[in-house]
Order: sequence, then C-alpha cells, then structure tokens
Amino acid sequence: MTDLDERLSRRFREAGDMIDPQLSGDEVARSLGSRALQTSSGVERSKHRTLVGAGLAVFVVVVIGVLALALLPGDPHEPLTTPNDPPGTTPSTEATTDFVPTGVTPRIPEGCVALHGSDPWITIHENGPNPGLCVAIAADGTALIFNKGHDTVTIDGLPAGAISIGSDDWRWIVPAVDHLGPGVHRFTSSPYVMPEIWVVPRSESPLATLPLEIEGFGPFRLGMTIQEAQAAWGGELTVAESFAPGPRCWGASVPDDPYSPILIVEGDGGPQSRIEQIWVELPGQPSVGGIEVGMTEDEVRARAMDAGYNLAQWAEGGNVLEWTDEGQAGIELTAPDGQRVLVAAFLTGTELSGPDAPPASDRVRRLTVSSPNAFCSGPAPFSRS
Amino acid sequence: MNHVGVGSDEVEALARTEYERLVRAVTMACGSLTLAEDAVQEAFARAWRRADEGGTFSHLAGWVVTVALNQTRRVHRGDSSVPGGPSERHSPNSDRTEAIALRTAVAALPTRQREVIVMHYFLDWSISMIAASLDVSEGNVKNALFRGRRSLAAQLSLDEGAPR
Repeated sequence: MTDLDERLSRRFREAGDMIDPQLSGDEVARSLGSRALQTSSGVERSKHRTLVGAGLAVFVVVVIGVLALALLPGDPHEPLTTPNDPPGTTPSTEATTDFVPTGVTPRIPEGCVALHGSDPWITIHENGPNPGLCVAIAADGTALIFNKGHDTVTIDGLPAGAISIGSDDWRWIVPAVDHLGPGVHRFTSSPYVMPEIWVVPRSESPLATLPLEIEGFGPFRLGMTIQEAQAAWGGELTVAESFAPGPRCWGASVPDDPYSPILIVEGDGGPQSRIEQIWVELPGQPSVGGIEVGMTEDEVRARAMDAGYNLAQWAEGGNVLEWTDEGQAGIELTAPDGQRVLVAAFLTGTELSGPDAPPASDRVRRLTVSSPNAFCSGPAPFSRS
Repeated sequence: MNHVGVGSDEVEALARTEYERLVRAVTMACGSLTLAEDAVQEAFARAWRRADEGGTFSHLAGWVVTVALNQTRRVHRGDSSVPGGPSERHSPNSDRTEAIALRTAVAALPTRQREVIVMHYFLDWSISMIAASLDVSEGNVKNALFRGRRSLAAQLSLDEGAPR
C-alpha cells in the first residue's frame, strides 16, 4: 500500500458518498421478496425488464393513483404505457421509465432475419429468397444479392433503377445506408422473388457503438458458454451450424440485430460450447486499440506502433497484425477515397489450443479467397511473431 | 475460486446491506446514476432468480457487480453523463470539485481499467477477488490496476509515491 493508494481510496470513498441512489437497499430487498410470490405462481419475467422495476412500477402506479384520486379528482390523465412494455403489462407512468432498462434490440419487423458480417448474402433462385422474405442489414454494412437461379433476374426499386443479375452472378449494395437509406425497402423482381430489405440505423442497436475489448464485446466475454452468453445478453442467440468448415466450430449471433458481432464458439454447438473468438466486421465499430474495419495499412501501422495501442502487452503474442496480399474485394468498396483498404475485420480471441490461452485483441485479419474461414479446424489463424 | 450455492434470502440480505454501495461503485464505473441503478437492480433480480433456481456463485457481490457492469455496457450508447448530476448529494464545493475531478478522470480510463480501479479503490476488493469476479487472470487485473492508477495519478496531479 502506497500513499497514493491511500489517497485514491479516500477520494473514492468521498466521491461515492456524494452519489445518492434513489432507492434504499431495504426497498430493493423487499421488491426481490415480492418476486417470490410471482415465481411460485409461474409468472415469467419479461427478458428486458427488471423485476425490481416491474414491482416498483406497480408500486409507483398505485401510489400515484392514490395521490391522483386524493388530490386531483376527475383528472383525465391516464397512465402511459412505455414503448418497452410487453402486451398485457400493467400500464405505468412516465416516472417509472427510470426503472426500465433502455437496452433493447432493434425493432426489426417480425419475421425479418438479421444478416451479420460485412457482406451478408441474399440468395434468390427458383425456390424463393434465402434466408427469408425480409432481411435486416446494418446501415453501414453491405448486402450481396446472389442469383443462384438458372435465369437472369431483374430487380427494380433501387434508387439507381433496375438492375439485372445473371445466373450464378451477384451484385453488391454497399454501404446500404447510401444506397437505400434507413427503413424498409421493397422491390419488384422477376422471375425470382427479392426479399424486403430493412436497413437498421446504428442508433437503433445497443451493439453498434460498443468497442471490441481485450476479453469480449459488450456482454459477451471470451470463455463464456452459449448458455452464459444468452444469460448475459438477456435473449436467445442463433448458432449457425455451417458457419465454418471445422467440425467443432460454430458462429453465434444475436438473431434480431444486424450489428451483432459473430461469436466463434467451439464445441458441439450446444449450450455448453464456449466462445473462443469474437469477430467484428462492420465499419465504424472500434477496437480498444482504435483500429476499425476499412482502415488502410498505413492507418493500421500508425496505431499499431502507438504505445497506447499495446493494451494486450501482457498477453504473449497480443497485437499481432497479419495480412496477405490477396484480399477479398468486397471490403475495398468501403474506402472513401478509392485507396485500397486493408482491414476486413478485427477480432479478439484465444488461440484454439486450449481454454487457458490468454486472449489477445486487435489482431487484424484480412480475408483471403483461399482461406476465408480457416478457424476451428486447423492450426491457429495467426502467426506469432 | 469455488462456486457455492446461495439462497435467495442471501441475495435479499446482500441487497439490503450492499445495494447502495454497489450502485455507487457502478455509477463511478459507468458515469450514470440512473443507468447504474437500473443495472444493479437488474443484476439483483437475476441473482435472486439464479439463487431460486439452485445456481451457484463464486462470490455473490462480485457476480452482481459484474452482471451490472455488463448491463451498463449493453445499454450504454455513448452518452456519458456528466459526473455530479442533480440526484447527487449536496456537498461543500471543494469536496464536490474533487469528486467531480476524480470521476472525470475515472471516466477517461478504458473500460476494464475503470472497472478494476473502482473495484479496488472503492469496493476495496482484493486482486484475486476482482480477477474471479471478472473471470480474468490476476495478471490482467494487476496490469489494468497499474495502468489505471498511473493515469489517475497523472490526471489528478498526484505523486505516485513509494510503497510503504
């Protein structure tokens, strides 16, 4: 213990004393106790609300209601329902919104499938569109329309006018926000059905502004099981069975948020599979070292050489940058000035050699045509230098 | 650290005795009292439910704080609140100035350093307990603590001093 430690402890205590929570521990404990009655009757808590908040909401509504009756007889004001309230929820007042967590997934239309990664594919062919009749994509992301059918397809409804895509050919829409703008877009197409595209603004996603950290991304931490990750997130995750070639490699993501990172999990794909790596592939989502998708080699090098960048110094092999000459073309389209872009994705993660390997972040990878997803099945993806 | 079963009554007891202190800690880590209160309440609710379902905890308070911090990261949209909002207790100006300076300096730290610093200096948790709570190595905690401590000393113009 140093003098500085003691002074910091004292200042923290003094600063803490000035923070005055609205509720006391007794009030919160009582709310928890009241939950016991609800649990025994089988009432399920909404995943995006706290039970404390719900209990308090009822309490506040009752108190305000009593006061309103006593003080404002005949007052026409009715309690308001907050946007987060699920159907059937007891109406709450505006005052209770302070107790309602605001982190919710984007409100994409029901039945809309969120696509993940920098270049999600929309496949259309004789049997209809895949993955569905409505897809949600990030505003900063791209969409790749792949015509897998035997005939040339014509799609109309894009700002640039109608486009034709030959058999076994594809077109990019990148970035989506420039070409389509936020909101839902409907198309006419022939002879195959083109799905609606829902462009989700960054502002609507709780995941869009979180930085990739040394040990995780937002609520997702390296080493978590799928089950733990779902509990931390507060909702289900989708696990893609054919995400990567390895027999024990899976990609998990938040199903209704196109800004979801891709969680690379190893195992049988079930609840006990563990997160080994986290990929972030959308432009604009920074890492702790400041590297973003779309940066040039010079920009990456400038940050990699910065002393402040070496947050992972304690981890052997951290901050390793690696790229190859043959890059995937798609990411180049994000370059604002036509420069060749280096960074296709960045990630944090462990080597796949074992659960005890330390995490390292800001390992920048560049997708290659020959080995786009060489994870989980072979040697470690990054050379250590 | 071993995980042990905890009853829902123990969660209630922790809420009764530690809720306000944990809210203060999370407030200093995330910068928003409102967000911190939501997050700690949510964490207690989850802990209560987990205990009710027979779940185990390595350290209950650590679990609550970690879940609350995760929650604040999840809902945080980059709108860092200015320390010293209207719901904060009135204090002499000099104390308040010092407190705001401290919280501003803490807010400038990277997320992990911020959390570790608050756990260590405000909650007075040991390095091993912080490591267990955050599920990281002790080396990671020491590293974050060292860097955070150095940054705070520089920002607050405090001498680092020698170990006693």
